[in-house]
Amino acid sequence: MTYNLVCGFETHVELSTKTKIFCSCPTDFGDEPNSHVCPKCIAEPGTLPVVNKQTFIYAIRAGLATNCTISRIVHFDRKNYTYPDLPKAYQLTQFTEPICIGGHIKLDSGKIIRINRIHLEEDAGKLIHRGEYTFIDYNRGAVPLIEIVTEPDISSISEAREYLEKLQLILRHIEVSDCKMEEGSMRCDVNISVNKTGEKLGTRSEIKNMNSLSFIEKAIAYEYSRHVSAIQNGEMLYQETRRFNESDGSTSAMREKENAQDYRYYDDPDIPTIIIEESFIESIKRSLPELPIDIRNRYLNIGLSVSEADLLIKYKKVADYFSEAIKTGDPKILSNYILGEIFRLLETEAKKEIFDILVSPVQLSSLSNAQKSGKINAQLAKKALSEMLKSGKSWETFISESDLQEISDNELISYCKEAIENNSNALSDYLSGKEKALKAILGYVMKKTKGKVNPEKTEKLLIELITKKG
Amino acid sequence: MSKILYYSNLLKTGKISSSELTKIYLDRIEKLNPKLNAYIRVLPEYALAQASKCDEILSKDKSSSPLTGVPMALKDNLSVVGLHTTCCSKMLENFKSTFTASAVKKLFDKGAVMLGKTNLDEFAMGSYCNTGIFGPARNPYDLEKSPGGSSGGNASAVSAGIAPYTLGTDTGGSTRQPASYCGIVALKPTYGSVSRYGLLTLASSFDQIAPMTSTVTDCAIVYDAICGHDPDDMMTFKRKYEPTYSQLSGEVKRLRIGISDDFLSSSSEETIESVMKAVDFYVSKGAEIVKVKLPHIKYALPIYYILGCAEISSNFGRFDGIRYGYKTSLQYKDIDDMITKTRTEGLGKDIKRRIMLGIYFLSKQNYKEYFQKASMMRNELIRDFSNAFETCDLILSPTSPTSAVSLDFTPETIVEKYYADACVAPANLCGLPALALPCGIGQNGMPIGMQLMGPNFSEGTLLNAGYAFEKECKPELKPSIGVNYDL
Amino acid sequence: MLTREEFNSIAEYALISFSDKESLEMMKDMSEVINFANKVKEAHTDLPTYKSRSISAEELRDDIPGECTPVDLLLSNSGGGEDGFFVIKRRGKNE
Repeated sequence: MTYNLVCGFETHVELSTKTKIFCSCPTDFGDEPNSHVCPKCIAEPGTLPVVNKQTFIYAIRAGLATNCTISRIVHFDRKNYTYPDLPKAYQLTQFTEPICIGGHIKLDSGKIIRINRIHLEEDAGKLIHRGEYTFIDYNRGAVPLIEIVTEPDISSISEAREYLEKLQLILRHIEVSDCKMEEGSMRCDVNISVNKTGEKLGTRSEIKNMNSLSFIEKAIAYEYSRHVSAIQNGEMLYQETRRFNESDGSTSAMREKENAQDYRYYDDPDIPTIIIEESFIESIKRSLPELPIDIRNRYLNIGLSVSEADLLIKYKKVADYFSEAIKTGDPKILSNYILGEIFRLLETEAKKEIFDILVSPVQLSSLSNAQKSGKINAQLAKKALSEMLKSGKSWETFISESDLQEISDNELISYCKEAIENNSNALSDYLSGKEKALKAILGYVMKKTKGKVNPEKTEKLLIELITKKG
Repeated sequence: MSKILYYSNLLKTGKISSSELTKIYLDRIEKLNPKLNAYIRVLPEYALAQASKCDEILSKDKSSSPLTGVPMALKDNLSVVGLHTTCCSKMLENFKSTFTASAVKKLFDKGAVMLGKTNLDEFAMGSYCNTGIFGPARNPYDLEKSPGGSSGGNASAVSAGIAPYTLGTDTGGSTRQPASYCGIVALKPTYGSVSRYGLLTLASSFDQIAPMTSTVTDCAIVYDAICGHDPDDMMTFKRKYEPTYSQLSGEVKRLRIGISDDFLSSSSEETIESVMKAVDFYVSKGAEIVKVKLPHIKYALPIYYILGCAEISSNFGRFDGIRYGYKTSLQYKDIDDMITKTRTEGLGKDIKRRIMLGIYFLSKQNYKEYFQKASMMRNELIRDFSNAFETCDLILSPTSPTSAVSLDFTPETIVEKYYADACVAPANLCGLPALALPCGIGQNGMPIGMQLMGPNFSEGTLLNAGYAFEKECKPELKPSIGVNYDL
Repeated sequence: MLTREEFNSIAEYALISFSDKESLEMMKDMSEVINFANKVKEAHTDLPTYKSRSISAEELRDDIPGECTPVDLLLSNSGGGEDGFFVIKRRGKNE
C-alpha cells in the first residue's frame, strides 16, 4: 500500500509597486545598502505606517486572477517576534482578515489546487553574516508581499512544479510581480505530510524560504521518503520547521525556538479598518489583463500546438506582441518567426522576457502574409526577417534594396526556358525517367533568380514546359 | 487673560521683540529651573535663532498667527529633527531624532520659538514625574511635592512662568493630572484630531499630544494650531476642524452638565467641595445638571491597563540597541543575549513591568480572557459614554482624587496608584476630549483641578465652558516659586 | 498567582533578564496587577471587540516615491555603521 504525498504551499511574492507598503521609499533598490530607507523603515520611535493603495490593487488583482473572493473589510495585525531584520519587532500582516479568500488554480489535468487565502504583509530587511559580524540592510524592509496559501491539495512533485509555474505565469501576466525565484521576488514555504488513502492527515513538516523549483522538487522527494521510512520503522515524526540543505538535497530540523513561537497577534492600532468598496473592485476587474489560460486557449483555437502556445505565453511581452500580430497575420508563420529566428536572436531568457526588438507586430504580420501568399518564399522571408531584426527596416524595403525584386511570371517562364536549353544532359536524364534530374534544372533557375522564386511553383512550370516541348 | 495674546500684542505693536522676549524667558529658566528641574534641556541658541527669524517675519507681516514669536517648551518625547529626544530614559539618552513631529512642525510653521525640552516620567509612564533619568521635576506650589506625571516638567514650567505654554502628551491622564497638581490648563484632544507622528509612542490607541497652558484661551489657540488631518498619521480624521477660539463666548445657559457619582466617590473632601462649587457656578449661569450613570466604569481601569500594557509591550520591542539607542557594554554570547542585556540595563523598572504584563495579556493562553475581553468591554464603555452624552453636553468631574502628593510618596501597592487615574483614564480609553482646569485651592494653597469631558470633537464646547468658569471664578493661586505673568 | 515558569517564558519573549531578587519582586508586582485585571473576567458582554474607525480603500496613499533618509543620518544613531550597513557583532562586546 503506497503512501500519498500531501503537500501545500505558502508562497511569498514581492509586489512590483513603486513604493513600499507602509512608507514612500522606492522599492527598486540599487546596490547601495540602506539607500532606500526612511525613519519608518528602521522603526525610529514616533514613526507610523501609511498604507500604499497600489498594494491593495495588486493584491486584489491577484485574487481576481485566481478566482478568490475579495474581502470587503480588512485590517492589519501585528505579528510580534524579535529578529534583527525586523525593526519594529513586529511584522504588519493580515492574520484574521486576509484580503482574498477561497480561490483556486486549475492544473492541465483538470485538478483543482485550492487557494485558502491571499494576504498582504511587509518584507524584512537583509542580513549578511561575515565572520563575527552581521551586516543589516533595510532596503528590502517593508517591501510589500502577498502570501498565497494553498490547501494541501498537491499530491505529486509534477503537480507541485505545475502549480508554482502556473502561479508565476498568472502573477507575471497581471503584472503584479516579476516572480523571479532566483532574485528572491518569489519564495516558498513547503508543507509536506504523508498518509494512506482514507486515513487522517499525517504529521506535517515545513521547509521554509525555498527559492528554486528544482530544490523544491528535491526537498519534497526527500521529505516524502523521510516521512514514509519513519512511519514504516515506527519512528516519531514531529511537526516542525526544517531547513533544506542544498549540498545534498536533504533537510534538517531547525532550532526549537522557531517551532514554538507565540506571535501574540492583535489588531494594529496605527492603521484604521479599511473598507474595500464594490466600485474599487469593479474598476480593478475591468482593467485586469487577459489571463494566461485564456490566452493559451485562444492560441490553441487558432491552430497552434500546446508546446507553441506554452512558449508564447511564458512571457507577457511575447504574448502581447503575438496577440497583436495575429490580428492581421498568419498565426502559424508568426509563431515560427518568434519561436525560431527571433528567439534565436534573443539568446537569454532575460532578453526573451523583455522582448525588445526593432520589428513591430504590424511589420511582422505583413511579412507573414507575404510568405503565406507566396509573394516571397520561406527562405527569403527568413533572410528578410533577419535583416528587419537587425535594422528595423520593413521587408519591402529590404527586398527592393537588395535588388531582390519579384520575378514576374513571364520572366519566370523565360528563365525556365533558358534552364531547359542549357541543361540538355539533365533534360535527357529526366526524359529517360530519372526524376531527380529535374532538380538540376530547377537549381539553375534558382541560381539565376537568386532564390527569389517559389521552388514548387517553378518545378511545376518546368514540367509543363518540358511536356509541352516534348 | 491669555498669555499668548498678551505677548502677541506686545510683539506686533513692537513693544518687545521675540528675541527679547525669548531672552527674558531664558533668564527666568536659568534662575528657576535648578530648583524646579522642569526643563531637562534648555536650548538658548536654537531658541534665539528661531526668535530672530520671527522678528523678521513680524517686521513685515502683522497678520501672522498669534503664536509667532511666542516661546514655548516641548515634552521630551516629542521629536524635533537634529535634537535629542530622550524620553528621560537611559535607552534614548544619546538619541537624536531624524524628523520633526507633525504637530510640532505646525507650531514651528506658525513661528513658535522652542525654549527647550521638559522633564517627564521615563517614557511617559508614571504619575509623579520622578522616574526619569534627569531626576524629578518639582511643583512650584511646594517644592517637596510632585508636579504630577508624566508631563510634570510641562506643568511645572507653565505654572512657574518659565514657559508661556507647552505641548505635552496624554495617554492616561498624563497632562490633565499634572495640570491639576500645578494649577494650569490642559486639553486632551479627541483621539485622531491631532497627529501622533513624531510622538514617541507609548500606547498607540490612547496617546494624544495635548496643549498645556496658563489659560483656557491659550489652550484653544494652541489646539486650533495643531489639530487637523495628517497624511503621516492614518488615524487622524479628515474633516472640517472649526476653530475653537471663535467659540469662546462664555455663554453656558442651558448647557447640560453631567455628574457621575462614580467619579466623585474616591475623591478627597476638599476636592469634592471645590468641584461642587464649580457646579454651583454653572447652575448660577443657567446650566442644567444631569445625573449620569456609567454602568461599566468600574471596569475602566482594568481594561485600560490590560490594553495599555499590551500595546506598550508591542511598541517597545524595537528597543534593541541595533539601529539607535543604548547598547550594552558587557560581554554577550549571542545577539539575543546582547539585546537582553541592553534592554535590562536601558529600561526602567516601570517599563519592564508593563512590557512583561503586556506579553502576559497577549499570550495565546491569556489572549481571550484578558485582551479580547478588555477590547469588548472597551466598546461597552464607549457605549456608556455615548448614552450619557445623549442626556448631557459634557461630564464634569475631579481630575485627581487629591491635590499634589509628596515626591516621596510611594503607594502601598501598584494598583493603589492606578486608582488615582479613575477620572482621567476613561477619556483615553474611549478617545474622548477632556479639559482640565483649576477650580479651587486646597489645604496649604495647593491647586485643585476639575475635568470637563465631552463627546468626540466637542473641544469647542469644553473650552467654552472652561472659559466661562475661568473668566469669573479662576482660583487665586500663588505658586511659592515663580513669577506672575506680566512682563 | 503567576508561576515561575510563566514568568521565565515571558521574560524570554521580553528579552529582559532579572536577578533572583528582582524576579521575586517583579512576579509579586505582576501578580498584583493581574489580580486587578481579573476584574474583567466578571464582566458580561455581547458586544464585539473594539474595531478602530474605518476608511475607504480609495483614501489610501498614492504610489508615488518620496524622499529617503541619507545613509549617514540614518546610521548616526547607531554609531556610524560600516559601509552603509548597520553592524552587530554576534558575540563578544560592543565596540
